[in-house]
Amino acid sequence: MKRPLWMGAVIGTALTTGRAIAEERFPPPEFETGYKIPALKYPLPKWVGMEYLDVALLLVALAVGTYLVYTKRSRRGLALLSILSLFYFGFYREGCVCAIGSIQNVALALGQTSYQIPLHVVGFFVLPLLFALFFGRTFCAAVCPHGAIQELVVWRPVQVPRWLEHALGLLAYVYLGAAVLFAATGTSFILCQYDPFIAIFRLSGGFEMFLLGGCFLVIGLFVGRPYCRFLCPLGVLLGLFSHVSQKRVTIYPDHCVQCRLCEDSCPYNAIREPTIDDSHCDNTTSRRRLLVYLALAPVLLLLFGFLGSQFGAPMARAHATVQLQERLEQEDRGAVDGTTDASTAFRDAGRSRKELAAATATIQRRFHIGGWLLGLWVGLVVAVKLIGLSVRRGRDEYEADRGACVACGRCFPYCPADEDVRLQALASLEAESVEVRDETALLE
Amino acid sequence: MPNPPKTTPMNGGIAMLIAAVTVATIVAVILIGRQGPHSKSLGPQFSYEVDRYRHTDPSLVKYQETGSIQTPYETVHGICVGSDDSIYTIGDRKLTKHSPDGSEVFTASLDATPTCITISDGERIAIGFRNHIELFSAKGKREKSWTKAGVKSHFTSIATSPSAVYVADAGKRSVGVYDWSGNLLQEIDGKGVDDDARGFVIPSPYFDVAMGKEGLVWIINPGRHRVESYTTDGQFELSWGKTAMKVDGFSGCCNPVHLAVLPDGDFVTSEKGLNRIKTFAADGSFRDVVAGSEAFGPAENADDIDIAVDSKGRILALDPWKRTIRIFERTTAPSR
Amino acid sequence: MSAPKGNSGDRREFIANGVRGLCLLSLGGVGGLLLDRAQADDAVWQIDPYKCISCDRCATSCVLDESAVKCCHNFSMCGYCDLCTGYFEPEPNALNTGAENQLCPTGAIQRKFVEDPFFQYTIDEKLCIGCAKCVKGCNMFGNGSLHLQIQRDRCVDCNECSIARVCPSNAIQRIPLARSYLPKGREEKSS
Repeated sequence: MKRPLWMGAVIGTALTTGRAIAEERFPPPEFETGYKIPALKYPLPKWVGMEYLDVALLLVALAVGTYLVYTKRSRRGLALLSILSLFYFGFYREGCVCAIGSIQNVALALGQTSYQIPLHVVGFFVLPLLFALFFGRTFCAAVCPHGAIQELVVWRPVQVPRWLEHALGLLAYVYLGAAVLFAATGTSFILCQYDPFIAIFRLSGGFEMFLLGGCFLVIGLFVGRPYCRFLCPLGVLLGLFSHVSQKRVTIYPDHCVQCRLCEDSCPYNAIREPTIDDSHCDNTTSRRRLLVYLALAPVLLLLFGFLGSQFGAPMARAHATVQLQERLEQEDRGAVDGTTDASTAFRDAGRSRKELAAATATIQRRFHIGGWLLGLWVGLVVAVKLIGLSVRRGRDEYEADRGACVACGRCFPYCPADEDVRLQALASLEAESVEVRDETALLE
Repeated sequence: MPNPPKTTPMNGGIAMLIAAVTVATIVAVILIGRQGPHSKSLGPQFSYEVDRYRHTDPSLVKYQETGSIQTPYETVHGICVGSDDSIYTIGDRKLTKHSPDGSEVFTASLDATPTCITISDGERIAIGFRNHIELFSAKGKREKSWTKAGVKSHFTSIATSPSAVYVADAGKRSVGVYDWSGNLLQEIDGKGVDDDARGFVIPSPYFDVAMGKEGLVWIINPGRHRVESYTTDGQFELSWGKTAMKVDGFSGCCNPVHLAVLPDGDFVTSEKGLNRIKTFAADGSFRDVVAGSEAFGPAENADDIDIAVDSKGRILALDPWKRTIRIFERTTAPSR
Repeated sequence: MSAPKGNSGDRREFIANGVRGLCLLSLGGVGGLLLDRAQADDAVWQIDPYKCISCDRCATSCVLDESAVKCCHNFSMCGYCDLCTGYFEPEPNALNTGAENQLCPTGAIQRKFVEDPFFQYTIDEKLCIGCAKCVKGCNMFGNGSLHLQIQRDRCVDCNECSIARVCPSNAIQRIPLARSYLPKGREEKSS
């Protein structure tokens, strides 16, 4: 496997030519006044254990979140935990490394053997997924700072039309595929580059970064968690994993009384209502549709795969090596005036054009294959979505969608089956009746 | 705790607002995507500009390049010319002889990385290494080697007369005078010149020595931007040179780095940083430019161009970037 | 609840268990593979001073408003020149500390007389913005003792360094934390 140039020396040996070494050995002036040459001092690094502390805190936060969702069923506790997470993982640790971004480190480590992934990044990748496999998206509920900041700004949630929700939901899958492709080829970490909240967490960054973050927050006032639902690539993985999780978030502690109170409490369109039993009339058409979609699936896959492969070459242009190669070719042809810093640096360093061309070819080949894979992945997602939509599943009760539910617990306080809710409701009823009685007494 | 807000169906106003903000988001994404290498730039006061000195007035350039010889090296180290105009170069760990027409005569391998080379009238090649000297026959056969270096020694240049070998030691900041058997006769440290107690100021391993026409030893004092002459017994005679980025002076912190003597007794100097090769009259007045820094490059990695002169007055420059011997010839007769 | 419903529920449960097992296995596999590749040691971003071309992107592209990259000075490589090309404008009026002679736009370099003709140049890190102007001057004429480096007390260790993304010479790379710094000069050899 050919290393890309920028990864050239991960455990870099800085010494270059013999000339440079000769210069280093050159003795400094002989001072006669007893002047001592100061040592080369760099500022001391930060504490090493911080990253491992982060992993430990992540584990603790996940455990507490899971406890709050399943045992305490406490919306208040989850809100508190998400504020804590937002301040620690978001504002204090400045949002980096995060579990979302760790997908790219994993992709890079799998795509490029020369990259050694830091241990704590593995922790950030594995722990949320592991929890999702057993307890659903408790990471999203209150641990992820990206989720937390959006969770806290939900103000007037509106219902996104179902069709739009399904369509936008596909974006996240495409984004995941693209992020993996760009990371595995060593091109760039697009999730980090386009992260909407990182500028807010750091309280620094370019205007466009703040604009992006601000937009997401403004949209988030009305559309609950827009990033989580429509873009977050980790959300895709966590959603898939929580489909088969051992435990699931239930709205009611014991059984559903079908009071429909929870339906409006979810800002994320994640509560599914019970199905009306109309199977006798609908069955044949939906079954036929399913068959058509099943037959169409391979065609879709191939179509999208082909489309993806067509995007391979343009996508490869995002890689610095490819850009450099193209720039040098243009300069050779005289198609452009002047030089860029990169092309000048390349020529000045006297590096081999042949090696650069070979590296470029390797990257382009990988993008061609990657384009096919990305296309197939998108095709697969679309096909599964279509099939999923045409399969009707019977529900007797209000249920949280296993994939879409972020376990925020907003529906808990609405459920009259919940003991606390019942007691509260009773209390308010009593107070009301007392008031009514008082009023009637006054009237009399 | 108040119950969370209720989700309501989307109404027109909110849908419009969301659509507008979505557009703004997409604009932001495009802005970030276009954030190329030139998205932001500091003002001109933050960039180091010497380009105006890099352009040489063409009327001052009295030489033109008439040929070049490719060397077999990765890294070039030094050049000298024999009395028959044969060209000797060192590079990597090799010594190569080219005939005057450019064809390769022989290549001999060396035991260490050489730093400097010269050839005596008697056709003995002297090659300096960081801390020792080796003598070779004109055919490239090693005859003698001596080590008379101190701990700090860093030999950077070598010159010969029939009776002595002058070795510039940039590490010790002095020129050692040896007899041909390798006995140290004396050291020229340059101290006491113009009431200057410091002697040679050499911030980097560039310290050149050359034999002049009238039996004087010419030594570069790069930190003072000066070329100084000494008698063979180490007495200071005179010096010339001035500090300036402009073409008639020596640029930067420590220049020139190489010196050669033309058949008529004029001098050729080579500077690093602003890579310029220029000629000066025997009294040190500026004469003309052989090649300006636009002829070499890039200057960012301070590389030096060693120079030599043949019997016809051609100037041979050892280009470290192209790894070639570049030959410059005078276009007009020298005006006196 | 009717019997067939219960059956399908069981079946679904069974499939979910199986898939979960598979997921766990694959997660374990990927995790194991990563752990095998992982380094216990962290990776940190550093500039290879020998690849640096002294452009101004370190000053402009860091996610921090005041870049984590600053100029460092390896004194043991320094020639202590009177006419320091990292300190003075290319053609200074006089070799003194007058502001009009200074190269550094923020006045972050201090010049101190040591003994004739040597001067010590020290970087005031609080003022340095990492523009590399002095580095260029020092590298071009001098020994290259002035160099840019990512300061480990300032760097926030982004997952992908935003300067590395735009560095024209790919000089920014991940190095193992144990090394902490990728220094310029002879210290490199002893470490």
